[in-house]
Amino acid sequence: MIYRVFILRFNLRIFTSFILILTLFSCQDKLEIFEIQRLPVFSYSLDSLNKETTDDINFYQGKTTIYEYDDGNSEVYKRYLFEAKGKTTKGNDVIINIELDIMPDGDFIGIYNPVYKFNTGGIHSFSFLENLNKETSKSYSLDNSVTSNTYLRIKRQNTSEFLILGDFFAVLQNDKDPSDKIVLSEGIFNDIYYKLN
Amino acid sequence: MKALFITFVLVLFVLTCSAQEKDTIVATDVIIQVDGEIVYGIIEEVNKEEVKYRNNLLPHEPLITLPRSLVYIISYSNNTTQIITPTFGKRKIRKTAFDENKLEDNDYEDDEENNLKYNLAHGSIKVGLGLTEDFSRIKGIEEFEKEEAFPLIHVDYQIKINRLFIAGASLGYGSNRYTYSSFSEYDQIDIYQEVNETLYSLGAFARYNIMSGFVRPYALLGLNFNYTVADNTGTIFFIDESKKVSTNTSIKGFKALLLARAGVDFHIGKKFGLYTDIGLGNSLVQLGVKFMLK
Repeated sequence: MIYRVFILRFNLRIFTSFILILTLFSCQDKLEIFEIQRLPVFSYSLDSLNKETTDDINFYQGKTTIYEYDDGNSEVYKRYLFEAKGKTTKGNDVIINIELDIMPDGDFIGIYNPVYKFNTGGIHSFSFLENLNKETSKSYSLDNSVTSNTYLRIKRQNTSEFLILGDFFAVLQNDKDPSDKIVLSEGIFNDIYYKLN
Repeated sequence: MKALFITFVLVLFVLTCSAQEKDTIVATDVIIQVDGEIVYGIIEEVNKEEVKYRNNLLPHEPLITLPRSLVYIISYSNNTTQIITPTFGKRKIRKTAFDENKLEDNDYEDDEENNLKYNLAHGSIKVGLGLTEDFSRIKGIEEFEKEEAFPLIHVDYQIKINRLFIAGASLGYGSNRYTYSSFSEYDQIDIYQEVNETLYSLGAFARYNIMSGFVRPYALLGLNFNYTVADNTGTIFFIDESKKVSTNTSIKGFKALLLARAGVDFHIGKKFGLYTDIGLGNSLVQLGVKFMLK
């Protein structure tokens, strides 16, 4: 009888332990679901040599608004600022500033040139600043002689997530020495978050 | 003279009626059983083993026999009492009195057999459907659409422990199908995913019957162990690059789940009934049939 009680208690302990283990270690893996992850990228080739990339990018609406001549209520363009900061493969600090004048309807898609198109807008300025605040600093701006080649295209816009993507090409000249030119080719920007005022 | 005669007849009539009414008042003894049940009748015999009484409410007044062990006290109509089995506050299991005139025992709950072997073989089978498809425990598919599902089917086997308590085990099966389709014009990506989930469950529970009869409300408490297999197939089509990527993953896992439900059995026949219940478990509401093996 004592032996039976012992066996019963022992079995009960095993059963209780089994239940506890099952309860405590209940597990169910999370199913792998496709998700699109946003990764802001701004890249270009400098003089067709090195591929430069940065992820420190800002695109936001500036304070400037362009109004129709003699009509202070009719907005023609809103000015947006595109800033990309990073280091080149040579280790130089670089800041690229692009000012875009865009139609005020909120639709950014279009090709922007230094030569404005009335229904789209244009590139107000494009500057490439190297080693700013250093002795070796250089600044480049739009080369007015070949402005037709410079463009920035916003290919797609995601209005729900406030994202844009596109490409660009620019020929710039040194502000102090116009014969010193640089070419930013194969320029790509992707998943750039934009801020509206 | 005539008036005197009529008065006499009336008085005689009233007296006769009173006498008849008095005859219908029958002295009744009260039997209090050890489980608290009170029975009214006329005690015929109290011997060393049994208490015999007649139920004076029935027309044929059959002789009913109760074991002494089930009778706590008898309160006789002459205002005397007799303690038959002292209980000292400890209730004993109710055992139905043997009724000589009762030819058929037609109630499952009144079955005198309380031994485990008998009850194991004479339990009841419940087959039910989960009406709300609430059994899925897969995470991360909140945005998926549920397209079609095999409703959760449960098969329970219940055995009587005593008059009010029932123990049971349950098996369950169900499946779900989820799909997700999305096209992003901005990303130029077309995504399609399909998840097929199959659930197997094994559970054990204890059930408490609140009352007996045609309608039997109950509450049950237990534990379910769910084993889930989910297959996930998906394709991503990168439109810009005309490239398609396919994936196929599978997960398996188990989860313990508390079972706490309240419901009602409707005993339509001796061997058949319907039931419905609601509460925690794999499905919110269950509806099904019940078969009694007896």
